[in-house]
Amino acid sequence: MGEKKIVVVQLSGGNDYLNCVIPYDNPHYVDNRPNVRITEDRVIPIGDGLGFNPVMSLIKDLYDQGKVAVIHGVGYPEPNRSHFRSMDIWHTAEPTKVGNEGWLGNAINQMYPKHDNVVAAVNFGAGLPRALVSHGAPVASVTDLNTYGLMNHVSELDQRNEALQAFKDMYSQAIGSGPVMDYLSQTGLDALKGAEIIGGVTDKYSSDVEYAENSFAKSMKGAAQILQADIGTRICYTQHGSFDAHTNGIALQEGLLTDVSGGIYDFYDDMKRANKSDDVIMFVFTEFGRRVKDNGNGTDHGSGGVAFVIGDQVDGGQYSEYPSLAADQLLEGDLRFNLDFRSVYTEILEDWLEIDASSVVKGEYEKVGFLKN
Amino acid sequence: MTTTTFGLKYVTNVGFAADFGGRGFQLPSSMAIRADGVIFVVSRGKSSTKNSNGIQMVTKNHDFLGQIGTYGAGLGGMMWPTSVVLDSDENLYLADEYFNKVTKYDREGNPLTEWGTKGSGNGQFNQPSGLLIQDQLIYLVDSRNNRIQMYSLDGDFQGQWGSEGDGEGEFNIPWGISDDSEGNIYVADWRNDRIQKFDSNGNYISAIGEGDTSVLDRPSDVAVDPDGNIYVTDWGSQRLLVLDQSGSILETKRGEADLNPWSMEYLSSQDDERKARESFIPVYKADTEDPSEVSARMEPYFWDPVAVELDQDGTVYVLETGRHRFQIFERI
Amino acid sequence: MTTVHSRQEALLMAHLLRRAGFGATPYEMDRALSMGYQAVLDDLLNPDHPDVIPDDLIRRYHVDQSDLRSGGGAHWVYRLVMTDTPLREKICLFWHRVFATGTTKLIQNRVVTNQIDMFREHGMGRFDDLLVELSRDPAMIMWLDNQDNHGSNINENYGREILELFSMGVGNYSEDDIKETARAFTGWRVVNPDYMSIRMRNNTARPYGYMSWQFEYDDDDHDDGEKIILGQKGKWNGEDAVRIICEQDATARFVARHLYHFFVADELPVPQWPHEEPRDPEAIDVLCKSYFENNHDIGAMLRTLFESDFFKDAGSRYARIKSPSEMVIGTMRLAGPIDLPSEETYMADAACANMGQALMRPPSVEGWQGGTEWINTGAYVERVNFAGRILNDSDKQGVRDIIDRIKALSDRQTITSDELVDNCLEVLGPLEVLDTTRHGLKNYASKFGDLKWSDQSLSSEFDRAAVAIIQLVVSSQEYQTI
Repeated sequence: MGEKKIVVVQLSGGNDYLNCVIPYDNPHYVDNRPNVRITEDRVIPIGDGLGFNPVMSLIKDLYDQGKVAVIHGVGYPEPNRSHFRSMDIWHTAEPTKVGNEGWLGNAINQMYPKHDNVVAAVNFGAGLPRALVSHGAPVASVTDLNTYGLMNHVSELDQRNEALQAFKDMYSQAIGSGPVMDYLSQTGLDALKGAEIIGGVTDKYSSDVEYAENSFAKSMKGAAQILQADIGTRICYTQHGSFDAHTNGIALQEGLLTDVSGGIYDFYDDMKRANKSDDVIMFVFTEFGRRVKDNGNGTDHGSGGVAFVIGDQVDGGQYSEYPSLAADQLLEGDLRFNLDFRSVYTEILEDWLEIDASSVVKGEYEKVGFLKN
Repeated sequence: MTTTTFGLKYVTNVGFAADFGGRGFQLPSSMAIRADGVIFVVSRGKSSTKNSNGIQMVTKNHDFLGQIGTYGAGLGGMMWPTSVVLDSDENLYLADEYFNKVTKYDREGNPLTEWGTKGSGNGQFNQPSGLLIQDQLIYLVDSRNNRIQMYSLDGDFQGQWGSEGDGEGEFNIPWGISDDSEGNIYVADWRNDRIQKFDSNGNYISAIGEGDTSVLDRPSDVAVDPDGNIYVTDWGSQRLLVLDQSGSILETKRGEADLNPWSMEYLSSQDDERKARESFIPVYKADTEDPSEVSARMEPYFWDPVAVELDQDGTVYVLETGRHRFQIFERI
Repeated sequence: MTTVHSRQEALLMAHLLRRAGFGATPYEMDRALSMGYQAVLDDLLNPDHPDVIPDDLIRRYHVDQSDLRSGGGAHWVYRLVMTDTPLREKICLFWHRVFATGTTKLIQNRVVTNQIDMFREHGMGRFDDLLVELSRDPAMIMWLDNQDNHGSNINENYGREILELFSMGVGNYSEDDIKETARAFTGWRVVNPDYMSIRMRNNTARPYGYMSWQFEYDDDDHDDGEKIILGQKGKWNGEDAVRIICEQDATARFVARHLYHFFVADELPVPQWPHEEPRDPEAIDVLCKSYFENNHDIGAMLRTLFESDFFKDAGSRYARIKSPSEMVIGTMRLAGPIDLPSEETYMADAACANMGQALMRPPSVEGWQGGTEWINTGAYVERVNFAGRILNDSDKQGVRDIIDRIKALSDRQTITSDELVDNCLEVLGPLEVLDTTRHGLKNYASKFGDLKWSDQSLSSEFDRAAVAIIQLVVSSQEYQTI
């Protein structure tokens, strides 16, 4: 096995747990979802009275191969129903105060304390998710791998190469002219180096896998291109959404889950065919699940959600327990979480990325056991 | 023609803040009412959420019937839809001020054709904002070109009138358009704070709310009943005004929406919000003079009223962008 | 140009316009130089005209900026790019960094936009007035939970932060002062506090969209007992607490240090201030003196600052790393005016966020620390690519003006590639760069050889060369500083 890698898949906006992994024969589910319910005839059963959303047949395929860990009831104490705050909590692993550093950013700094791997983490999308931010941690943010690079507004290739060479000259010659200028120059050179490395991966890539035409599939294909090129990238970050289905609940979620299932399956297939699926896991999460009772046409913000870890090194099956839907067991109409998300992080950090977890999640959390030994 | 006892009473409202389609609207910009009572409401949507626009079909009895069209550049797609109108065969026409085009849909909502490009020549437009159909002719408010254009129902250019200015037949970024039972055409001359009245060939007849003493403040849309009463959504002052032909005010409404069935159903699933709402005071003394900010604070009030429509019974519908709903009034 | 101004005058003027504004186009620079430093400063501090932004057009054509559920950043970006009262906008950015309030918790953009409007009105007035307005500001009340600060049961969040983050800084007050200050602000809340709080917590715009908040003082919920705040005893209310706070030396010092950090040179991050001396202790003393001599007036402190030797000193030029907003707005203003808020403004707002400064979405109550924390590899790619992309088109009015000015600096119809670089740096600032940078630019430009613009095809070739040089200049390290 080569270096271990992870692809994080963030389902933004609050993926409805109840209609993703569906307790279809639970009477409380039927009662609480008069309008926004997946009926039993459409569910893809996975046992124990639970089933996947009908658009997740490709995930079911991987599940049957033992590649998918379904982790029930993941959350944190005193759930927050704000998308931003709740996502921030997941990103910083700090439920009680506003954290400044991201859990994966901290992981990068632990793995590369000298910041010498300029492509340790790659985000797909604009800007940097908080999870990847930590002072000094180099992270690249790619909106389109085919056009990624410094000065990509210069369309003519020769001219761009000349401009980049001039950039390199200007920046390297400035080193030694003072601390601030040196910091700027070094960061500029690192950015250029990272961009050059990442910009080269599409040339090396060839695959028979045909990804769908949507932004998530594009990101997952980008992750496959980067990870297959073995440029040293350990973390790829992708997201899809928005799952914030206050109205139009079923159609919206099913459209997005179709994209997600397809992207995950094609990525796995792509890595498998390249003989690289052993080294990579995918971690799928959302900031919160949604309210147990529907609002007539959609569902509102809730707590307690479902996460997935997927890959060859995953011991497939179901982990933790589905929280009770009984009225007296709910917390202000929401599911009660029964597994702290920092347990999931701890296992990923220690057993997969092989670094110290307690300094990242600020505490000791029992591992879940979804990774093979 | 007009009576001295004109009055309107609030009946109900239809709407809900929907972010991604489904039952409700997102920043609605226009509505049209079909003879069978189906109401088409266009959601302009949020810039940040691409699939938040479309044409929702509802009734005044709070039935939600589905959606036509959504975000996209292809035939039938939209980006910044501004106006929707029906022809006598109940085909639907939608103007879009991002793509500078008009899309024609059949009665079932299938897109048939589209026309228009950006520009100031014949058959081109710069941010169309209002549509009217009269006798097989489409009148289109070409807002940034300060003119009204006429088209056949298939999009052939037929003529135009108007230019920038504040004189007779001139416009300053006009918005909505309507006609009366005699075929006269009324245009909300938005930045001139007036309604202009023309015959169907575009010959100027009169102006309502003219000059510095105008009672109007940035009127967005107009409708006229068989008695000649003129209903204006006065966007700047956040009111519905009803005027007679001389421009005297017959009625003023600030809006008085209450919870409609969709909203009640929503609240019934939110214990905490429902309980907190028990002590909620919907209208309180505002410490600002700015009508827009007052509207932003008071849930029952109109917030950016953009369209006024009358159905065949004379019922009045006022569509509000900021509150994702329309309020319904009847004559008393 | 009728008058020849010395190079030193030009360098100083460019410095003032970068710091008290967002830089200058060649025409703005001409106008400023003909007015002179003092007159320009007077105009920046006391503009004799209101800043006219067509609010009705914005609301009509950019509808989500009307309800301001989202899009608040884009709304502000439009103002920042178009304003002709740039210091007034810059001071809004300054207070936004100090009193950082975010839609991340508040959910709606409108109340934060209203807060920025308040900064526009009070940001250069008395600090006492500003703090009272801030304490009444609905967005701030909800941001720091003062609607939960009751006479019978205090929530000390606002009491703590007004002392720690907004006026004095850590180490200048006791835990008791925090509690007593919190008591003074009991009953300062918004109308319909319970419902508004629940809606905010649930992140909901349902059923009918957001409701903007309004300040309300509830005397019944106010603790009118005696309090001791910073040694002064009385039945203090919020206004009294502000008065007492504003009399403190620590407050003057804290405000002075923030102003220095924002307008003169990058300081260490704020949390280190209690432990580290200021970069220029004498400058801080001068600003503190101005605070007390001018009745706590921020505008007067700014005048002192911009007239001081420590500001005018060549060592203060480029002594700060450009914030993302300064990078984005400054570059867009160079490219020329934008008609209405448009996709461009949304894109510019997103660019600020991608570089690490999401306007109206600060990462925490502590705002942004600035300095080298703005710079990482991801942000660097964004900065270089954004500036290059914005200035990529010689048909944009601002780019056209820059190119025409580059030509005008030559009295012949031809220019060498070295002159092209020198003139470009002159017109884009004047921008002072390291010799190595100038050399690198010239080396790159040499491929263009001598350039002429005597006919159409030569002229468009010249445009392309000039744009290429402009783009390389704005990708330099120096352009990252201000």
